[in-house]
Amino acid sequence: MSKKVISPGQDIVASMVPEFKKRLQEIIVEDGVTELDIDLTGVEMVDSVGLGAFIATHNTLSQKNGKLTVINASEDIYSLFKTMRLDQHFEIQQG
Amino acid sequence: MMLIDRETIDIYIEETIQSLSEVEKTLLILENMGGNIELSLARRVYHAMHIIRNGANILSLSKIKELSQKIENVLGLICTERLTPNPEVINILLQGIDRMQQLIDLIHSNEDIDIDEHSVLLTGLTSAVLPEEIKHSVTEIRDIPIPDGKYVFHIPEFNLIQEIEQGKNIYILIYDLIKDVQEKNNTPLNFVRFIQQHGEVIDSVFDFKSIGTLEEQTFGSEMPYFVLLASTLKYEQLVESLGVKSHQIKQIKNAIADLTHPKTEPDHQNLTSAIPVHHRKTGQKDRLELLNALSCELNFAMDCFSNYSNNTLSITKARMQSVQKRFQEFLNHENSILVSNVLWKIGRNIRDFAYQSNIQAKLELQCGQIMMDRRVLSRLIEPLTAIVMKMIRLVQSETPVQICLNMTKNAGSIEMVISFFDPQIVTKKAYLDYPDEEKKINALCATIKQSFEAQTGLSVTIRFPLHLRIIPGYCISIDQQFYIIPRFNVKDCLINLNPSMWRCENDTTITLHDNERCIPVIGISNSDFLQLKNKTTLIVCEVGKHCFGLAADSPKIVEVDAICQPLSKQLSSNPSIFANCLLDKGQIAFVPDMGFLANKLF
Repeated sequence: MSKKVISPGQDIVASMVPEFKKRLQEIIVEDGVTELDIDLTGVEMVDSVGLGAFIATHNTLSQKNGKLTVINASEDIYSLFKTMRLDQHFEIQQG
Repeated sequence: MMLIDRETIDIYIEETIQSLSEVEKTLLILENMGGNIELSLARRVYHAMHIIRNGANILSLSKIKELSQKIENVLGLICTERLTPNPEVINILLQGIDRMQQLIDLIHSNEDIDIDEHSVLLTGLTSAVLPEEIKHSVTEIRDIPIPDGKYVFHIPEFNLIQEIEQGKNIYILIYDLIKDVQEKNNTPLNFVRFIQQHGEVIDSVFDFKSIGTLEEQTFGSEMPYFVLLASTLKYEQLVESLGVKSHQIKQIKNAIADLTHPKTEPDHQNLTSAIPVHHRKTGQKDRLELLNALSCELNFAMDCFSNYSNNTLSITKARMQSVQKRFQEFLNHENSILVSNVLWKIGRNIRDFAYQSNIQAKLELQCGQIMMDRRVLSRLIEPLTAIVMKMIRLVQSETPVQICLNMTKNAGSIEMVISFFDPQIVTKKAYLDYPDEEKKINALCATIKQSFEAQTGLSVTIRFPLHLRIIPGYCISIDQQFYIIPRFNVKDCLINLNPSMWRCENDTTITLHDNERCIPVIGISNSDFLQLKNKTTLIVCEVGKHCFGLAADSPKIVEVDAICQPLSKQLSSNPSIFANCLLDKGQIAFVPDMGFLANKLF
């Protein structure tokens, strides 16, 4: 079981998601990472497609008995994830 | 986009703190009413808690929301007379309020504050008093399936009953975040806030399966999202308000049909009208503090100005004095508060002390309509609580103790007498030892004395002068002497200074060089150059346009509202001292005449 931290460093929005998704796939499918931390330092906004990327990452990791953790979420993003009850599926830590 | 800004949260914090204080106070009143409570009071606290919960919901403050929901549940039972607010019930509620206050104090970092114990106690209280037929609702979970049957919401029945009792309808909202949010150029955060404006989000869930994994081609094409909403709006109103198609909203009726007939329905029309219109007081406390500091500076300047006897200035002087007088009257009024609105907290402290010590003790406040400066009153709570506790400890028997705090206002002073309701409860001559409390009371410019008379028993009398001169300032130590520097004059505090930064310009002038700045330094006591070089802290002061530094012993500066004492003859002859005061631990602190210091240098 290997662990990795990925830091997108920019807003997780539709325009960057295809590239971000590719990176996530490489890390999980090719490198075999099962414990993934997504570090949201510097991320101010997540749009609907971005939210989908988190859920898809969680789904992919779950199939491999892995675990997703979102770290350093801003107050707004933390609040959004909590309101949408995403914290019931994967761990979210505020920055 | 930052939708909930810092100011909104600050307003919520300010209003919630005020509200919790009112709730706490009213709970104590309800407790004293026993079985014959005034329902309007109970409704008022219920509604206050409801507003706190709604705010927490909108701001997504999950712990505050959860705890306020549990407290509201218990208050709802008191409102409908299904629960008597006896001391046990009130104690659990007050503990919950205390925890809420901690959550509010640490609103941005309250993740480590545990509310489990309070939740269990409050839930236990709720379930214990419910009729047998609905008692199970507190722990019973109701399954509410989403129309396509893929998912099921699992909700405590009691929460649903509470929403229904508030006249709300229960809906499932069906969204696709791609079509309904992304393609409409909306953000998820704005979207959820918009929904929250129309009701209470009881729960929500994504269709995780439809979203799929990273490898699936369908990724990003749909994001089904379901919301269980409690709203007072009718179906058609909700469809219109949310701007959705009618098939996106399903009203839940059958799945909760057996919950929709509560035994007693609270009078919500009355609940709504029971609270006054909420006035927003953004930063009111800050504004008052600023005005106090401004007034203090004006007073200093006017004192100095009044010493000039030039006749040509007399009219100008008189006009300024009249402004100063009105300004002071305004501030005296703003700083004043009904004594009972602050000192009730002592009653709460005594109540908790008695509860924990398993004794019966009570404090009765008889303050009438007397008003005092809120800054003085807040500093009285601690020493007065300690004195009353010491009096209670004097009573040897298990007899219930009732202590009376009586206040009267005379021509020149306000007098407070603390005595036993039953003077004979302490029969032999008793003496109270309260050195620490005495220092704190003396620091408020007040005197304290105790007496024991056979007829009246033990009593403690505290006397306050009617007019106090309060200087908002920072307490610092210079050469082991405490000084109060008026808040208005303090501009900065430079720390970690090193000896190379000090320069001796000539025999009388010492400066500190900080980056590009050159700050002239004033020796407030007998500091010479060698002594100054050892100082690592400089308080940067501003008087008018002049800026200078005072070298302090340590970087520790404490915010105080110094209550000035009359100057002794020796001190009044010292032109650098404007006033003096006592600190809480009994030390003397001087208030330097900042104008004199500035003149000395320039």
